[in-house]
Amino acid sequence: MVKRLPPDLLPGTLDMLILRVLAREPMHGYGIAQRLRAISDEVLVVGESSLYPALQRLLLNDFVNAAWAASANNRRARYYTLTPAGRKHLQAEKQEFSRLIGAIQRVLESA
Amino acid sequence: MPGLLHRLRTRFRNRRFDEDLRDELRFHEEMKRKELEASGIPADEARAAARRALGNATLMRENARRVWIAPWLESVWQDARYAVRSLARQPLHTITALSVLVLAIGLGTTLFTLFKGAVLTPWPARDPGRVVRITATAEGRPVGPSVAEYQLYAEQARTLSEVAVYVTGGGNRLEAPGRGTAYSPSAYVSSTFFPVLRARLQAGGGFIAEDDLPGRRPAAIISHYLWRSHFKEDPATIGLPVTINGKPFTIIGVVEPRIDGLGRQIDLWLPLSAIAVVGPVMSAGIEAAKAANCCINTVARLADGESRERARLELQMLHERFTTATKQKSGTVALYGTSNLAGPTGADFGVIGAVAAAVTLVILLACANVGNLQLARGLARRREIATRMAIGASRGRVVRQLVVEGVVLAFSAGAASILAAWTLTPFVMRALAGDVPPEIAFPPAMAWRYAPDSKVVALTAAICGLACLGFALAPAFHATRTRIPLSAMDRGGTRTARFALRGGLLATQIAACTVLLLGAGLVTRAIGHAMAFDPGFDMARISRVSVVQPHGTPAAATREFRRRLIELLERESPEPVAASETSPVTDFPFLIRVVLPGEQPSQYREVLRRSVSSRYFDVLGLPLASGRMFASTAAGEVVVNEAFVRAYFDGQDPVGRTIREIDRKGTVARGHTVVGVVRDAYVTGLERIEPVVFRPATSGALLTAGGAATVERIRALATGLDASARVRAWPLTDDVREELEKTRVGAAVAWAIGLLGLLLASVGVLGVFAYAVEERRREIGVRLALGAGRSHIVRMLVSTSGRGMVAGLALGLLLSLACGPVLGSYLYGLHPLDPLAYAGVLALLAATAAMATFVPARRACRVDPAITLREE
Repeated sequence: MVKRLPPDLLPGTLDMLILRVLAREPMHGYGIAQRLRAISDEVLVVGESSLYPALQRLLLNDFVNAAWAASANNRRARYYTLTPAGRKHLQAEKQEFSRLIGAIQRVLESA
Repeated sequence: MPGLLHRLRTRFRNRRFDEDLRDELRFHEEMKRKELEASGIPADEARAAARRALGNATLMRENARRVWIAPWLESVWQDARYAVRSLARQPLHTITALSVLVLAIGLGTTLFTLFKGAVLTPWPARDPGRVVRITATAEGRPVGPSVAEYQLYAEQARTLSEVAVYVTGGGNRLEAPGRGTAYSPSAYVSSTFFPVLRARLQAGGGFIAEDDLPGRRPAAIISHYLWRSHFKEDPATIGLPVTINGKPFTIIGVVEPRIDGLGRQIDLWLPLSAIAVVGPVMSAGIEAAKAANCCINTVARLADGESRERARLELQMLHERFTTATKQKSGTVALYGTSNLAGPTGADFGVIGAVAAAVTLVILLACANVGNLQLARGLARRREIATRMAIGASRGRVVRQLVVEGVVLAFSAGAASILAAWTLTPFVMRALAGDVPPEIAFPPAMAWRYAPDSKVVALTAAICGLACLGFALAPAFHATRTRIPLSAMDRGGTRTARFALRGGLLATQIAACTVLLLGAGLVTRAIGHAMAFDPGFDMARISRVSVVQPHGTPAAATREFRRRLIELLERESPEPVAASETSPVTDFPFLIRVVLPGEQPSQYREVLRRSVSSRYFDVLGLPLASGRMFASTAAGEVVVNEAFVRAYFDGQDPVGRTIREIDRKGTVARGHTVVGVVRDAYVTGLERIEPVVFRPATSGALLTAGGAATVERIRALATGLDASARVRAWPLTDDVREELEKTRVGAAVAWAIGLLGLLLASVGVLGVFAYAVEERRREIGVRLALGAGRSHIVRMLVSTSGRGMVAGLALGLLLSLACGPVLGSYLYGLHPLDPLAYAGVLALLAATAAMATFVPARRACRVDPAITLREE
């Protein structure tokens, strides 16, 4: 199974970012992409080709739930909600990620 | 990680999965479009930009989907559906491939089903692995156990829990009051027989020890099948007085349904002692004598914890003790299972090995052919395959897709084959049985034996799987080997034409076909050889005449009648007439044990014996080499043939010498003076000339070369002696035909397989050449444009594609030479290198090759150079 990720993201990062966005409020796919782009000052442009498989992966692992609801402009959209399992996973991922970033930081500074 | 089941369930239950994804992506696209429009981009451009941003929606859906299921699982299913669709699109190709596969695999499946039913299935005993048949043989001939020896085993063998003896008989006429007549196949068994099988009785009781003794209660046990079909499961059947062949019997029990026979159906079980009561006079006498003196079928159940080997050792010891005590020749004891394969007759099934090898060859041939078809199809689909690979399909994926097509083909053929085996088996059984009525040739009670079971399904599946590997995998790899860029796709060069694979396939099928055809040709030649065979006497002119007195005539009266009839015929018939116990063309093993002059009784030889009257050699037209013929009633005189003299007298004239005959107990019974030596002829079967001792007799059917007039004279004289005697005449060639029947069936089978092979091979050659032409169309066009002659083109094709044919032919000839000795015993004396068979088959192959290459060669010659050049 090939994991298609945005080339400049670390493996697993996209899932974590999506979970983080959903931790604030339930959101549809388009909204998640917009939000990621906005808060990262346009640095993280998530391709749709990675976003939807990632969402399916999260659904499969029961980290998120999906339900159809009316969107802000009154259209039918599929909203994703974080589950308790997803919240726990996000915590774990965040810690792991900080550890990794710290390690990279140390390598960069000492080398 | 959620389990596979969870994934599958979610994936397949959620029918809206695809729709949800589609709706979601559509929403996304629309939002994107709005966003772009809002930033001032015109509506049309915004729509296109949104599409672009989203990219390939199908691919994205695929990617989303593959999160849920291992993609291979889903795509295998896709491949299967795609394979069915693409096979349906090319019905001609599919029908050709499918019919070739069904022919080959169906042949294998049907034959294996027959083999399983007739040979592999043991008796319906409980725990059949513990039931063994016991034989003792010396120099290939049975020497025990006799009835007395069986009793010794029953008393003393500790490794056996029960021992029983049995004789299977023909059909007996069972008449029950108010129930009409049933002709029921019978077996005569000792009282311990059902306990050996651990068979239970469904109603009534079994045999008791007393039933083994002659003259006690006339008891009979019937099968469940007979009980149901003839007695309508009436409980009053038990104790019912019936008659069997007119003799009174009482039905004492019904055996449980599973005991349906002993490899063939048995409906009537009688005590061993009943043979003398109901059996035909002749065979009953023979059976009784055989059982008492030499051998009776013996079967036993191994005691708990005892191995077959330990039982064999103990029985060998008991056998030797018995033969020493009775001064008989001792032999080697062997134990066999109860399937026909395991029996002492197992050696007869060597022919099955030959059939299995032939079927394997046919399947190989079919695989090679379908492989060629797949190759040609792969070539025709070069464009499709190249397109798939160009837009990113991996080679493995395309190979898998082509292989799945093969799997679909092979397993459809396998399913059809099992169906064919199921429906065809009864017809085959009836056809093989010839004159036998259908309900006996394929009795309903035995149908389960011949129904495809798990063994048949497993074998068919294995054949299909291997066939797939054979015909799909290699062509699939080849078809995807060249990564041709799209633009140059149609210029697939001529380089690919000479890959080894196709040559290998061609060589394999030519080799297999050559072996099959040479085998069939040799056996056919052998049949012709046997029919036109000169046995040393004129078969065509001789008739056999049977003179039979009514049933029930006392034996002494019959003897006297025969003696007087022969005497009258010898005196009054101008044409010679002789009596002979057996037909001159059968190898029936009537034997005599003789001690040669100057040798000890223990050194006796077993020699074929023929009992004939004095004019026998006159009828056959065989001259005596020395001495004279005996008189029909001259006891103590014998004539031997030259083969006997060569074998036992070192070629010296034995006339006047005395050979002594010894009986079963090993004591000298009487001496016979050799009074004459007759020239060798095939008077004991057409296969070989063996040493024979002729001794005087007046029994048996009459032989004459005098034609209808003599037959009428015999009829007049016979009815003059006994008005109730019946006379029937038939030509000796009928006997020959009967003797050849088995070989004829074998030859028919060999021909059927051989012709099938030829058909397959010619289609294969046609396919290969058509393929070569198709592949080199461009090259041919260019050559023609440059001025090559048509004959030059044909020569070029034949020289390159024909190389495989020549290699295959050479391989086939070599294999045939190696197989010759194996076939030898089925050739009726024909030399395994029979030049006519070889020349005929080679001519046939050459003619077929010429025909099969003609059509593609013509097509090659019609390639239009103008069109080729335009394509350049």
